[in-house]
Amino acid sequence: MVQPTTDAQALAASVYEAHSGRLMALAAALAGPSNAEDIVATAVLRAMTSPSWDGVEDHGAYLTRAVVNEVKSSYRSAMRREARERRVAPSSEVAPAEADPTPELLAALAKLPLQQRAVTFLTYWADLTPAAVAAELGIGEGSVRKYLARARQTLRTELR
Amino acid sequence: MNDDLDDRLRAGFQVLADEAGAAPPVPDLSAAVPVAHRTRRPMVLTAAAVIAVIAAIGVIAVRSADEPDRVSSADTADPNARPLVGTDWWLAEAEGAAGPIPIPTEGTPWYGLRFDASVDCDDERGECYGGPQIRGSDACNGFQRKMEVDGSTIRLGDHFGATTLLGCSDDLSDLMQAFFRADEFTYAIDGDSLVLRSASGSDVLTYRALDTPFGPTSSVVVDSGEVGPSSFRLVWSEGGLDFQVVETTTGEGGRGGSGVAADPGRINAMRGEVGGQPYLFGVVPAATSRFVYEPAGGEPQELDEHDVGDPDYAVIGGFVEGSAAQWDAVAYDAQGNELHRLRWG
Repeated sequence: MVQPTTDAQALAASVYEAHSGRLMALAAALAGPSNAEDIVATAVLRAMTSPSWDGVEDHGAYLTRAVVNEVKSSYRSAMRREARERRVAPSSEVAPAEADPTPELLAALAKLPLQQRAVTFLTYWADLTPAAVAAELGIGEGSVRKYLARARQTLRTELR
Repeated sequence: MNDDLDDRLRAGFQVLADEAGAAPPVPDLSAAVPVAHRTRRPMVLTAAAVIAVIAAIGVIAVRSADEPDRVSSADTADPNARPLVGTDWWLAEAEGAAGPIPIPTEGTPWYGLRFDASVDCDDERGECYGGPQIRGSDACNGFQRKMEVDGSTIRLGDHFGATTLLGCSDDLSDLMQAFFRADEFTYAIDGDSLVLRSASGSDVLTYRALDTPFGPTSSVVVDSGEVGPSSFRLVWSEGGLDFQVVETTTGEGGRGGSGVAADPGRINAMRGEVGGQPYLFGVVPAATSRFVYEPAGGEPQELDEHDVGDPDYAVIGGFVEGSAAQWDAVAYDAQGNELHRLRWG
């Protein structure tokens, strides 16, 4: 790990330490666990070297949107591919008594548009209210409620 | 609320988070220099590799035919200066012998400029493309010319590449056509400003650095991003949706796009492409609550609609899978009734 040598580097390190776990979980939910590290590394670097970074007040929300945008611009349909791969080759490390819930969840999440996936993750894993999700993603609270309702409808069907 | 679903989602997301493992190391910002926000996507997506790529772009190394690599002093004097090469510049001011010349603003084509230096080689064909070059708009046609950077002087070489051959006659295009047909001009960079001066000193063009390869706009940017060397932007302006794509691979510099107009009560949509990846965009009735793309022989895909502040329309934009010639796009209202079905092919 690189040791910070400037104030900017020190700030970046502290911001990153505070949010990296959540960003990895978000990237895993949006693009699959195997793509999370690439997504987060690229998104965080772009964000922290952006001319806008110095003026950012809510670093956590800014980085959340950076990760979502990075997933959006990725041309690889990571979620669908990962879901297919898991269905074909389930993990041999999973004990027979406990089925790995992720293949079905990944396949179900892959059917959601990106915004619905992001809203669902922030609601269920991060336990954010609709208002907080809206602030995090920079969208309206009404849109959050709409996306969540649709996501639940799709997931309820897919995860029967 | 469906407690079982909620619990499954919470548990499932946690499993995904656990499987993702530890976060990558914090990026080393001391190795990066300020660059245009848009950069080429590196092949290896590790933080160290990305930093190395950005640092390389940030330090000018333009090879001239007969001289060893030289870093332009005009770029390294100010550590906050944008690099000459690799930055997307747009024309902000123009001045001729008779004084300042107005630059067209919003709603008209913007005048961009870009210096590139990378070389791409096709090993199979044994051919290389690219090298130091300048390409942009002279307020009338596009142009591409070989170039050499010698200190603060840029010497222009052969024209190449396909260009339009429009005839224009106004003060700005007269000045810029003469400027970029000359043999050389000088340049200076101050922060995010690039000032070009003709050999006679009478003509001055001032450019500003862009964070995207597209011109400035006050219209609603619905979506934007990159796929490999291609960038795209989806822009809504009253009554129409523009899908803009720019290919910035050295030696091509293609810029394209298409658009759809709003159609009352109906879907008007098209499928474009960014870096080889299909992208669907369109205008739908504001009452649309659900939009589904149905490629023939493929899986249906739902796309979110974007609220663009128009009481009659919403906008769709997103990457899709499958390039089937035949596809349907369907808009449903909140009750699940089909509002309109668009069929292509």
